[in-house]
Amino acid sequence: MQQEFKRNMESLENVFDFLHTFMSQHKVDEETTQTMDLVVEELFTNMVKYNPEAREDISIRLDKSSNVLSVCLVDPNSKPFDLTQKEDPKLNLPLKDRKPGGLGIYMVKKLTDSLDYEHHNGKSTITVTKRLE
Amino acid sequence: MFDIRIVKPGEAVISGRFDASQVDKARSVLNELTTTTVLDMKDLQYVSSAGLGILLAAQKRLSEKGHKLLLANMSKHVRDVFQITRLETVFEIIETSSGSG
Repeated sequence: MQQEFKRNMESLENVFDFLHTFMSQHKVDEETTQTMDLVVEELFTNMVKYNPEAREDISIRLDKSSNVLSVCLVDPNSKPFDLTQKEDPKLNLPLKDRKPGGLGIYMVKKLTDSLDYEHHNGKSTITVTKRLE
Repeated sequence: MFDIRIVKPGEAVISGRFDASQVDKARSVLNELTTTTVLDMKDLQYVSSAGLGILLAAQKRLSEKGHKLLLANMSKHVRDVFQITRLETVFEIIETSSGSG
């Protein structure tokens, strides 16, 4: 199942609708669906935030095979930015030193079983997988 | 639908889905807080890193003046997000009798 989404935060409602339709069709439980909401929001908004000038839509593809969910996001016009190499945020700092940056990708890493990034001919592809219990 | 409002001084409620499309609304309301405030999260179904960033900014701003946000009645999903990001260490997380029923 695949769909294209406008590159802005207002698209999130449509992204969630798309995701929920898929999860419902595949009888994925509510807790996993919420986890995937978070994963997809963090990856989608990351693409929007760090490449706001591009005009092309971002595509999201969802797959389920046996007990593995797979999500693939494609930005067809982007500079290389390998988020898998991004340093984890420092989580043990006191309040005054805590920063929100990096929490989204950190959560994606913690909540999924794999996170892969490819950049080829100006196209960024991020793929995550999550095993179902 | 997302909503956040101040009920009275020291008491606010947040509900619905706090995703990246709601940060302006949330920031605007949280910026009005001037004292220690219990934020009732009983009906908050979802929060992403965008929402966490807004709550963290509010906590920092209040703490500079000797106040704080107390986060009340979190759902399991919201609590899990705070645990993963270790933000539970910089917020006081409480249960209130009004939120337990």
